[in-house]
Amino acid sequence: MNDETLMLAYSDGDTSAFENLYRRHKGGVYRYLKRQCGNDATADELFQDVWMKLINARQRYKASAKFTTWLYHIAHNRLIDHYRKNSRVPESYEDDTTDDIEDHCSIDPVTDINRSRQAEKLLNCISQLPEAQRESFLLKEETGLSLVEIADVAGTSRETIKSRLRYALKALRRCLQGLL
Amino acid sequence: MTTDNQDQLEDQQLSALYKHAQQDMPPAHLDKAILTAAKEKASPRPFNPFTYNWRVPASLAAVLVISFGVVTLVDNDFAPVNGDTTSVFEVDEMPQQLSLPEASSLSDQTLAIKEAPLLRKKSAELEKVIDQQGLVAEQKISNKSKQVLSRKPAQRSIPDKEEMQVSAAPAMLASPTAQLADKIVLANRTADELIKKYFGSDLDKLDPAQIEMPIEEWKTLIIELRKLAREEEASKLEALLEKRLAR
Repeated sequence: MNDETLMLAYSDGDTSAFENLYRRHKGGVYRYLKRQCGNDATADELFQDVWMKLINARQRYKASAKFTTWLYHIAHNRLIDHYRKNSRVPESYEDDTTDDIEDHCSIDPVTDINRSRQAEKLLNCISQLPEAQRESFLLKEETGLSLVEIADVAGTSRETIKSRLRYALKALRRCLQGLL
Repeated sequence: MTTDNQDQLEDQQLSALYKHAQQDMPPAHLDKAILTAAKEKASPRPFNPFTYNWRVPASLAAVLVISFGVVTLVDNDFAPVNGDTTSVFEVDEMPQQLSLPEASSLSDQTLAIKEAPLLRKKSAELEKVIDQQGLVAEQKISNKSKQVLSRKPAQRSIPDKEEMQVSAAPAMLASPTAQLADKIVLANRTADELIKKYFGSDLDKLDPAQIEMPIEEWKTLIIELRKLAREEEASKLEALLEKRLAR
């Protein structure tokens, strides 16, 4: 059963449908929020808020909207609210930047590092990306959404997302140079 | 071109590496809190008299109270006028006093004739009562009709209990009169049967000596015929009685 059908079933009161949806998407949403805000406690709070918003808005859900897009749109908006509340809307959302992590992150190439160490370093590199680029990368990796759909989630254009994603990948390649 | 291919390959490696790093999951207490909230929100809301739909039962209660009040007021409007009650309820006692004998019994027939004056008196009283009640009822019917006609058509479509009672009032009031009239007719018929049985059809050609009727009953019959305003027959029977007594 696809996400949209499950969400409609939950709108009609089927709680087991919600459990399925939650199991499918809880990891992606949680990682997206955690890597965007960089704080476990804040990530927990935002994560709960996102799902509560979804629960409360269940009657307004329409099958024409892709569930993943809808879910991450809620998560994105909650994140922006969090930034605004802390008077810190990242500049990267306002103006695409070519900043990368080259200046902030220098990883010594270690040729015998195992894959887990590589993954750990990748997460470290991701955390140092500008927020907008990081969001594009995370949405692409966590949701498998297309560029257009990611643009819908982030409330911007496809070209902007494509650009952010290109810069993000370039920065990560540099950060992990020698490890890949 | 070679660079693009290299980048593409590295992007795929990045993607694979990121998937390998996907180990962060929400804590168990968050899972529990969210799933519980989802179940609570999906289940029907418990009845709350202050937020639920209380208007329907409240409206029904109000309609019942108002209906009861209206019925009580209408009943008071139709209560008997002062002094009428005794007359009306006396009618119920009359069947015992006015019970008539069977026509086949001679002594009972005589008794019925004896009751004729009482019947007439009661009849006159009843007619008075009925006239009074009729006037009152007509007045009330008239008032009620005005009320009913002043209502909206939808309200008038089904007559209520009070209207039906009012419309039935003349028939109910007329029934004692009919009963009395029947009893007077019966008394007359009884007198006719007695005359026919003992005196035959032609009173002028009778021989008083052949009449078997006891003298006392004969006298009673004469008196009662007079009370029934049958003076001619009473006079003839009186003349016959005098002839018989003369012998």
